[in-house]
Amino acid sequence: MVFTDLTFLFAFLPIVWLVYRFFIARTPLANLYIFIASMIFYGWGGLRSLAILLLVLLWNYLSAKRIAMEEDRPRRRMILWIALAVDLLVLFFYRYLGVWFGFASNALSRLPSLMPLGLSFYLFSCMSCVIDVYRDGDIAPHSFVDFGVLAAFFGHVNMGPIVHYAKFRNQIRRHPLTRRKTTQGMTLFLQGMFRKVILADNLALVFAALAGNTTWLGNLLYGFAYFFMLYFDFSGYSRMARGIGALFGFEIPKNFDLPYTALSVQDFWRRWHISLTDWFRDYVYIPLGGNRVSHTRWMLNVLCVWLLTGLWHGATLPFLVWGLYQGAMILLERSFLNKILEKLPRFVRHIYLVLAQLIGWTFFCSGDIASAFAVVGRYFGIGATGAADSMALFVFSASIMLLIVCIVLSSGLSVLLGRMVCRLSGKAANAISTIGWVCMFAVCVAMLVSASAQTFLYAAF
Amino acid sequence: MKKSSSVWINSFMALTLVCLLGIFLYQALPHTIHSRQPFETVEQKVTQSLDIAVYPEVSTSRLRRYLDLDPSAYANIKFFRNGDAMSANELCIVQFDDAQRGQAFEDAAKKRIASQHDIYAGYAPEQSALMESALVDVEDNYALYYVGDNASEMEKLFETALKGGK
Repeated sequence: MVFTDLTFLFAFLPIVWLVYRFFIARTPLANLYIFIASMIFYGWGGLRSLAILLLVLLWNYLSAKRIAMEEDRPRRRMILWIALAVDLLVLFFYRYLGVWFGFASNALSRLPSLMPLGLSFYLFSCMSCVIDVYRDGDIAPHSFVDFGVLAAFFGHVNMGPIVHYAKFRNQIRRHPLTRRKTTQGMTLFLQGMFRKVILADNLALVFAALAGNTTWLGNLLYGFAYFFMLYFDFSGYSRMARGIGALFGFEIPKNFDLPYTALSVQDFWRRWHISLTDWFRDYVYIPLGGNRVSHTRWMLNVLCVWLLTGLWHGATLPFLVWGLYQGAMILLERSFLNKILEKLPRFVRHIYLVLAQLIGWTFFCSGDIASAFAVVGRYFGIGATGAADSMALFVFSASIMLLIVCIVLSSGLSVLLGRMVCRLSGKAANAISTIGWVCMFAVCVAMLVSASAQTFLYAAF
Repeated sequence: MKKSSSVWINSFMALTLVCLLGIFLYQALPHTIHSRQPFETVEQKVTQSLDIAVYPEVSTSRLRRYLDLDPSAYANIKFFRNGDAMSANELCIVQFDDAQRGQAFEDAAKKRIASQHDIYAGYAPEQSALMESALVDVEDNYALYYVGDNASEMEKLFETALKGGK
């Protein structure tokens, strides 16, 4: 089940939330109820995936308990490494074994298609718990149910945000429902749905229509369609997840903070998929020594973290190249580019960031390196078969409004516009926004019913 | 007390690990059928229960149109489809040499199922329901795509044919 399934929107979520809100929220059974609901949600997609989720949860919960119980430091470290090794083995088995060694047998080549949904997201949440408990034995989870809610709450089990145990654990014992959280939750959920169903799904049509177009305009539109689609798809999902969290009293932190308004690649990664970037910073970069090491070692640390980030997204060469490209850009910025960029006007720095990420996402979405280079070349007119053809012009005229809305929403302009509307409408602001969201929900449902909806892009990771 | 609970936890951890490894082993080991039966024999056994008037054979060149597959990439391939556009009934048997071909066939069949399902959903709900129960069975060197009544029986028939049974 995903958030845009009609079963989820009209049956699962309303029923689970209403029962929780009116009968369960203030009882000691709250977490047990959320855990059972999460298991039903996840098990809907297949019992095999549910079995793997339960085994992974059990393994990590027991490991965390065992670490907390152990007083001998070398033994604690040994248990930590065993726990992490098993987690990485699970990830390797489904994610990489089939891609790298699939040629050896038919059964192996099918393993990636058997990967449980959200495996890399909930595994990272589990690993966060084990590492945090290793660092501080007093914060071990109280019960398996509490741990299950933390790592596999149905709001974030499929596509994150990845939970950082030490930061989130206090909310597990106490997540009271308030009217403010409920309103905020519903608004976030609807905002996310708008981003996914209206923007990302329509951008997917532009992207599909221009795949294979070799003109300059066609390529540029193709690249920007993916550039915005990925953002609205994943940030839409993350908003929906935060909204669902708020409906059950949780405060899930932002996963996106207007990333395309960044002025450098380094700044971009403080705003894009924040939970993953933070995870790699806290559990890989800092333990490797961070920047408190020699210059060469620091450069290696940065490249190592970005190689792993690329690998997390996929096992194929384009993902590794994409990861190393991001790492290399950050190193260049830290070495000398920042000094040049700081002297330039803001809009030039924006153009630099947009171009840098446009090239990055081209590698990210390409099946192979050669085609990625070909598309990047055509952005600059190299290898293009002309400025535009009829198809590119048709798609451009049909999608110009969509692209303008995307630019407005991915820049700070949307926030300013929202504030202005609120100020102008005065006391009627709440009524206007409620009517607006209800209408928008109706349009989203109409699009979902017409079967024009696409799957979430990050579900593949 | 603490020692006894750590022993319990160790035992549960070992049990969890064994379960995980069991699942891995089951999924990683091949349990598909590698058939040594000739293609004609498998085809004859699979199609013997079909009414040839409902499933006339379609030339392989039209496979590109229906399944977007290159017939020359496969050792043997046969496609049967009802001539009536209002009917979803179709069947395709294929023999191949490498796993990637099997995967390509599976992807093509799934794509076909999704698109046919969408086409029929608007005006022919019974055909759409037939698409929902469509069968795609990919074995080690043979695969079958079937849309029609009694898909589960067809699956059994296909597997029996691959094993050389009657």
